[in-house]
Amino acid sequence: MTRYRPFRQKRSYGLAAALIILALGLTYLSLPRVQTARSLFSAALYPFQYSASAVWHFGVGLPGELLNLRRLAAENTGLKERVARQEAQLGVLAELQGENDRLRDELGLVRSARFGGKLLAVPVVGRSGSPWPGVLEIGRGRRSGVRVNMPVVAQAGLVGRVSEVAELSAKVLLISDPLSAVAAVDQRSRDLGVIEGYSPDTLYLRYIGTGGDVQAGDRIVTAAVSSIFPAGIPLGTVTSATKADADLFYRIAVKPAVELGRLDTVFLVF
Amino acid sequence: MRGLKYLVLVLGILIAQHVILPRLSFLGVTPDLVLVAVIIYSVLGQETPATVFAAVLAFGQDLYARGGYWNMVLKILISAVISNFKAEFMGDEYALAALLVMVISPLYLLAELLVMTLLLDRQVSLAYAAIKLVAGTIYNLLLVPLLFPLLKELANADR
Repeated sequence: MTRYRPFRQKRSYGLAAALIILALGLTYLSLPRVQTARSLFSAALYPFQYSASAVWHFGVGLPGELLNLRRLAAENTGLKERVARQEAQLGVLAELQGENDRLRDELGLVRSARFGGKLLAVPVVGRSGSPWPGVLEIGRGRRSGVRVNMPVVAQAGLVGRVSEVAELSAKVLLISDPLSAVAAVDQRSRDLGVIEGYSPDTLYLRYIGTGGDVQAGDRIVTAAVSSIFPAGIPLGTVTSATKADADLFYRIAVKPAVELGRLDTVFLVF
Repeated sequence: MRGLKYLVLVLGILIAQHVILPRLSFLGVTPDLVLVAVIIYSVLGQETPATVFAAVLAFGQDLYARGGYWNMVLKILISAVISNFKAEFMGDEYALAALLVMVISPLYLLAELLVMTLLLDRQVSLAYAAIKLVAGTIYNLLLVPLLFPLLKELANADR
């Protein structure tokens, strides 16, 4: 009696398996040639990214702005006044900074990292999409003097740091990325913690213990202990601080100072 | 000529994913055009071209990201699984592609949330997770009617 065997075409998973092993190898081996390939790829894609970004701006963004000319004029006047006020304050702050440096030198304290005084405006030309939306691509690279770990800020506060540099562009790791961690301090209570990324709208301030005094509404800024970020850059505002009896640390949610999902221009800190 | 079409399509998908779609994000959710393209092409195309297409697209997506190539691993797996089981399916390819996007999208987002909680020790709120799963799936489904005709033309040229 003939045994009936249902026909099923043989599948070969060799190619899929080989590609998966290649991907895992690229992830864990950190080969220099892969970094070079990434840089070359970024350089090759940059003209297309920039063009698409420009088309979007002029095709969608600009017409919308032109319809709001009156609002733009009022905003322009307000911004000019604000610049004038802040320029006047800069002189006073420079004096205070000098005094602070002199006093720290006299006490034998190490000077904290601070702004070198130079900010470079750069356009945002892309961002990593789902499932990891924590990386921006900016339109300046090695040729413009961009280096890894350079702080990136916006008008309202800290955006992140440069994580990778190509010839014409660079990648910025946002503070909202789950892999980001920034030393932070509560400006009112001076409690020291770490801001960790969660989502574009929420950060978490961790390692504030039972002795801490962090309340909703407190301003969180970068701490002087950071070797990458100058002290005092706004990170966000506390929205809630809760702690269960059994917890060692507070669970503190922070709303970012910068609207990280709406960035078109950022500033590199030199 | 066919190679040029593939190149233009891959480039277009990567540029759209990383330049245009992030500006259309809602509550921090951006559609995953690459995932939808991989699913649709795996349904329409033959096994080897579908695997290579998934690998190239996901590799490009990972080059935009931080340094790991997890998109590449996951999307090749998805392509391989779909290619394995689609032969048993008797029905409309469009319906199959839409159904797979509806099923795989939340699983993919769930995998991301699990990595955040288990590996990165982030506490994820249920409300945030639910919004991300639902919004992400709906967003991806909206891309199916846009991508399906484009990829069908390419897949038919391969047969």
